[in-house]
Amino acid sequence: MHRFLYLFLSAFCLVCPAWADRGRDVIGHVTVSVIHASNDEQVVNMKQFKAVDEATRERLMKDPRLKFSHYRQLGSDTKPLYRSYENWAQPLPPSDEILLRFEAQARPSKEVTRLDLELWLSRKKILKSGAALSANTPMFVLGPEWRQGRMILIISLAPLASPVRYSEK
Amino acid sequence: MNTNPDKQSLLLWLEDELDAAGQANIDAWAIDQPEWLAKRDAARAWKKSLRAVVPAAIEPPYADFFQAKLERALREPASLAPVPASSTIPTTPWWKKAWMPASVAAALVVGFFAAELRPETKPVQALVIYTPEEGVKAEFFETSPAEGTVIVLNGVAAIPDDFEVPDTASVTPSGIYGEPGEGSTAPTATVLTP
Repeated sequence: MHRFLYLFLSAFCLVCPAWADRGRDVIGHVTVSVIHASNDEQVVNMKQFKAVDEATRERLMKDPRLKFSHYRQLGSDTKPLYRSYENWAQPLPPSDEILLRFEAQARPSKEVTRLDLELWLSRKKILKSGAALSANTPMFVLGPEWRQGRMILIISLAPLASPVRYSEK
Repeated sequence: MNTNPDKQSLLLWLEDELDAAGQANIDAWAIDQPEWLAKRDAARAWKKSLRAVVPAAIEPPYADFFQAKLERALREPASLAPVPASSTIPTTPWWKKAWMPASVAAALVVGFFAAELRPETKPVQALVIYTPEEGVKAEFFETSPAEGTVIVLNGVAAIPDDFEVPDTASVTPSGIYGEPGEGSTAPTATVLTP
């Protein structure tokens, strides 16, 4: 009987590490999109970039701070949000001109997910902020100027119904 | 004898504890001391009544408990000789011996699942905006007509115009959609639409 108990404890300790590092469980996905917004677009410079879809354009134009005539998407990156580790989004790969570091601030609820965000531009930390994101309420960051316009970062979240265990990936 | 005896000798005389010479000396002195004679008679009567009740010597209640047992053990050395364990140790049921490791295992399992089911109790914190770069200001707007939160960065150094955005998914591959990005047929990038 002792053998059985020691076997059980050994098996428990062997299985534990898979559970122990729960910090790498994926609890959502963060998408960072970089939009170039301008009122005086020079088509020659921007024609290689896709215009944003109409729904996004209408949504942006509702806010006077984000209202521009033209919106083009420069890049986008979606990265997993870990339970307790940070992660980086690189929307203009392989360039590190724009980077976003993010990590969960609390366990996501159905309503909101709180994140710690850091925006890095040209390898300098420009902004450190908390963010309360939900599936339908992104964060818009009106950023630096570039080519007769400004860059807008749209940080959105797609939480998971249940965390994905690191060991299951 | 006319000299008065000292107090200590008198107390010993009352208890009949003096030697014969001392006793005789104080007896001679006490002939004229009727009160001391009365005291000695009372003391003698009390001692007599006490002896009638309490015996002079009492045997300890368990006289053979310590010494006798040790002596008996020494007399019988064979009784202390080691015997095979199997014949002396009683067999305890396995469930009595296994209670400790079993309880440890149960505590581990219960602790793990308790941690799993622990509700999130972190209090809601206010958002903090921090701009480490000098000259950069950030304005935060919690609500926006665009249905989101907005941060407006002012004073950020412009990205040089000669910065070329690398070929990302957003860049239309030339030749697939005709002249990319132009006209009503140009492809669009889905940003907020799932």
